[in-house]
Amino acid sequence: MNPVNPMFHRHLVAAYTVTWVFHLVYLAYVAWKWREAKRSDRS
Amino acid sequence: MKVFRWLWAAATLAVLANGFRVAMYVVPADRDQGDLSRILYYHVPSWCGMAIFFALNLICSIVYLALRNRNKVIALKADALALTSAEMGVVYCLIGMTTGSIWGRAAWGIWWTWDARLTTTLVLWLIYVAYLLLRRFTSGAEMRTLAAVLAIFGYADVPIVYMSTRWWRTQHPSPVFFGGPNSGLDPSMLPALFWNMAGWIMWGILIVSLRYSAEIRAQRAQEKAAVAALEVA
Repeated sequence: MNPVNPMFHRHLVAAYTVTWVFHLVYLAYVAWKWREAKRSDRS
Repeated sequence: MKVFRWLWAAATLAVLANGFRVAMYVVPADRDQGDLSRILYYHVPSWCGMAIFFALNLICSIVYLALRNRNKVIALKADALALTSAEMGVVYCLIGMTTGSIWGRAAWGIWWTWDARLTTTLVLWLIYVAYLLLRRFTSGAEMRTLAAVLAIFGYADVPIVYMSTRWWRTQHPSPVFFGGPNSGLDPSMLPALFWNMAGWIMWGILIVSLRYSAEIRAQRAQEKAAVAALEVA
């Protein structure tokens, strides 16, 4: 039985946050590349 | 294709959300580490993702080298997939190292140590960063050939990383899978690992498919520009 909510464990929260941040930053890069390729393909 | 991709994205987010719920609230905390052990449910899937996408990069690089003079269309598609899978692998590798470092800070009191597993992993990450830099700052068919050769040599570090905890005495914990006696996870913790592994691999496939489409478009635009330049000349 775990009496404390794991959401309050700072190292755990940091690790999960870092994972999402890195993935979302890369997703933003992919979206930028996608837009750039679409624009150059049209022209 | 568009509908399938949206469905895949929705399924991925659902699996990841459930993976988060199971990891945080369903499976028990580790007896010794407590909630800190839950970092494992994001750490291990990152390594699995890295292994899958670097292996895909290797296969595509071999296909490119084998077909570059015989079937240019397939060779260029393989090259685009090699690039996108290397990028995804680098992201997973970075996440694996960072989450491991955060765990190390809490468990060992240090962010980093020059242990065999950590060092070989850092070398692996640097090799693939070099691969991406090579592709970024050079161009043309020679760049693709050089990058494919580098990818094949670079992949040699992947089995070394995997075997490092078996070959050398390391500070890194023993493997979760195929680690022999006194290693692995308690069966009650496995659902969290499998849900997150499925979710993050699905995420990787989704992102690689998007990046691959963009790269194919970019290749097409480059070809158009080259043809236009020839016509002008």
